[in-house]
Amino acid sequence: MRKLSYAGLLTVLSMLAALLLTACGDNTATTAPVVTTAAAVATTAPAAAATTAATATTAAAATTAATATTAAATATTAAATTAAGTSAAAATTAAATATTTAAGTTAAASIGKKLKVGLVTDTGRVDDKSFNQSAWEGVQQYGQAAGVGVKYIETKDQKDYAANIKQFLDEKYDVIVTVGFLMADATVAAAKANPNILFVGVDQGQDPANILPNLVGLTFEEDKAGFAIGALAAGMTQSGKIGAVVGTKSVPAVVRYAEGYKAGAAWLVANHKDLVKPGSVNVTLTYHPDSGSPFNDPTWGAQQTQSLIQAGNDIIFGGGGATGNGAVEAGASAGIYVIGVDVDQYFTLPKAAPKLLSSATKDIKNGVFQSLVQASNGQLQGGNAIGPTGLAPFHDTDSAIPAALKTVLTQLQAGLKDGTIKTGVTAS
Amino acid sequence: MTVATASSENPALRWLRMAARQLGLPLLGIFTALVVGAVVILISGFNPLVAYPSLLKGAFGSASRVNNTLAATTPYIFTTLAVIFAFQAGLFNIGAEGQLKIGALVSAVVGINLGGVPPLAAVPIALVAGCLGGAVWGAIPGALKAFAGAHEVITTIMLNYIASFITGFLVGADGPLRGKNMQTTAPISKSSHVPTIFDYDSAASAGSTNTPLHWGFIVAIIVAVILYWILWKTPLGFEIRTVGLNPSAARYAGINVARITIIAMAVSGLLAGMSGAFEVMGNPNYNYQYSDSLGANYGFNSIAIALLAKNNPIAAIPAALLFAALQSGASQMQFDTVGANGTQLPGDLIAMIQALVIIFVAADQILRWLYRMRNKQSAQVVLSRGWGKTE
Repeated sequence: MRKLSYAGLLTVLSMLAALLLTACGDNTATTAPVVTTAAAVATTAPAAAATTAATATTAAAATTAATATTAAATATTAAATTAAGTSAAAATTAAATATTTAAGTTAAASIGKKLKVGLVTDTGRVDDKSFNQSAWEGVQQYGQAAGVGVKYIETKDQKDYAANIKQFLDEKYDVIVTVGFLMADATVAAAKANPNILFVGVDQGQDPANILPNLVGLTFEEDKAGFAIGALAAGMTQSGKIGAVVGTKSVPAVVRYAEGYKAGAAWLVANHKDLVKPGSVNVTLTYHPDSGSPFNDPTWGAQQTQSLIQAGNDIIFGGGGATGNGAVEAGASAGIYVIGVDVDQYFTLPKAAPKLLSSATKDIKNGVFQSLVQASNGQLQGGNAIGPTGLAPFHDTDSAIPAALKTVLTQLQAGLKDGTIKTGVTAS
Repeated sequence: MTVATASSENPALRWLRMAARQLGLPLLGIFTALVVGAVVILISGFNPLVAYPSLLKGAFGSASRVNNTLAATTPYIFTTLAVIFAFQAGLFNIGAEGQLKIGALVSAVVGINLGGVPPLAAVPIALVAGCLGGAVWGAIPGALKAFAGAHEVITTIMLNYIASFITGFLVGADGPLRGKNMQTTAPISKSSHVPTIFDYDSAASAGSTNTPLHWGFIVAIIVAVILYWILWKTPLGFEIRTVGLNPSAARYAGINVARITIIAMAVSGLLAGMSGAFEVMGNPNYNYQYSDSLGANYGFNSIAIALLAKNNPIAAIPAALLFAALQSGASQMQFDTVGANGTQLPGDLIAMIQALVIIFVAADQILRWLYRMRNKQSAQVVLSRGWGKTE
């Protein structure tokens, strides 16, 4: 009898482990893309395609949406300016915004040479509901469009960056996408050593003095997205106090979001005082103290949010991985309006969804995809490429936002895009 | 004459049989863990016959891969030795993580300022500084245990946090030691780089994208032998092991238990600090500077490796090699093993196999039952003792 129970225990344990693993493995690629694809269509859709984009959003079929994005991207060059500029009505109903798409401007619809593409994640899973996942979706989209297999390697430890890049080099891949600011050094080293391989570094700004012909740093103007949500928050606050709880000060993208947020609030006060109910807005930025794991500290995020609420802040912007998620969820559960980051967090943080005004987004997926299309056509140029940023739709809070504020936000984003409005943020 | 030969057969043969008996259970444990892992891989929809060969290929498939694996083994050997040394004195050092960080940071700070010093002097100076940093950080919980009776498990865990917050502040956004990039110091001087033994990639191409093996690996093996010698061939080692087995009896026998406790923790910290120092000074993947991500989980994984090595400093070398090989082969395994609809084998599976190895080796009763082995009473492994003062 004793033997039997041992055997049972062992079987149950291994079954449990297996189940756990299957559960983890399965959602790697299947479920999440649907949502973001639909959002991407809405963001890049030109005026003429606005209605079709809307239907695509409701239908949200993964495959059709993917192809729709490709088509939309080609038209962006010509129509994006008019889309954002003139047809304010279409833009406000969808609450969609097309900002800078420098990376997309030269993209052609057809894919030239079929390239083998590999992606190395930053320390994190490829289904992290954040930047690793977005970048991988961009690679996958290219894989589908070009009809080639694509692969990824998940980094477990920062010291393995080089070894994981080397994995793809050994297998003779044509393009290697590396994700995250922290991998910048390893990517530069690999690009220098392998001049015939193309590299795309997501969130890796390149030093203009040391441009490598085979390395593109895909960066995003987070300050513009931050500026827009700052203006939104300033227009929505009742108390005149808004706050931000964000990841570490030592990551430039975080600083750009946060400082842009502050500048955007100030801009609305200065230019549209009639829209700011309390008359003035006081912005508090709370950066993570940069010890332990600044992007994985939801408890800290929630605590900071609570003390900001106690101090009278009635809108919180949470930015920085799980830390920001903690802030957003804490704010929403306390009943105040919150703003998310990077992706449309209406879908990733369902608990906060009813109080989520919007999210400051950067379309990593589309940026990566465009870079890969360019690489296929031999058009990829070394240096810096700017990926698209914007505002996520308002969703549940749409009816609470005054129409006048929406109009101003649309104009603001057009202004940010064509450069007539500057954020004044210079973090790098 | 015949009696003598019968009792002492060929010494080489006897040693071999002893080694086989010692190795038997761990090897069976590894084998069983791989089998269970294969079942899990199969259930997850992947092919273990693809996964395991590519794991092996990733770890040992070419000279460059072997090089990479050995380089990854080096820090594990040091931290495992750190854990083992404390274990032998009955102290459970969970603080190797923090001691490693302090050691690494101290060696980096010293290394930065050794620009004009020739390598022959600069390398030892920076290394010794790192060791001392780790030793001091390790001696603190030792002293707390010896004089205040504070349990080292609690204090070392807490000191991990303190170390992490101190280093996090020092190299943080506004930290005084921050270099060009976030969470790193400035690079150390060229003269304090630990030379490499061999580096296949820099020979093959202009720049290195692999981890060259530095002399720290050789030092690690030498240190393992020295520790074995100290623990089993010197009076100090005898005292340490006696304290580890029974502090009361040790005190009764006239051993200064407080002194041994502090020494054991300091040496343990020294070894962890050495691990960190060598990573800063020899591992180009950290760009020859202190990085706050350095050594993440080395300290914790080493507790498991020490368990696998049954607290033997020599056995720590193959045990560390196993863990490093599993990790350095993981990316190849993830690359090669593709399931239906293009999913790839999750890298976390390696962590599961590592955990299974530990379970089967630590709880060897499972193995004895599985393989119908005789239940033999072996020497007990003392990991830690209870609360209270040790004087």
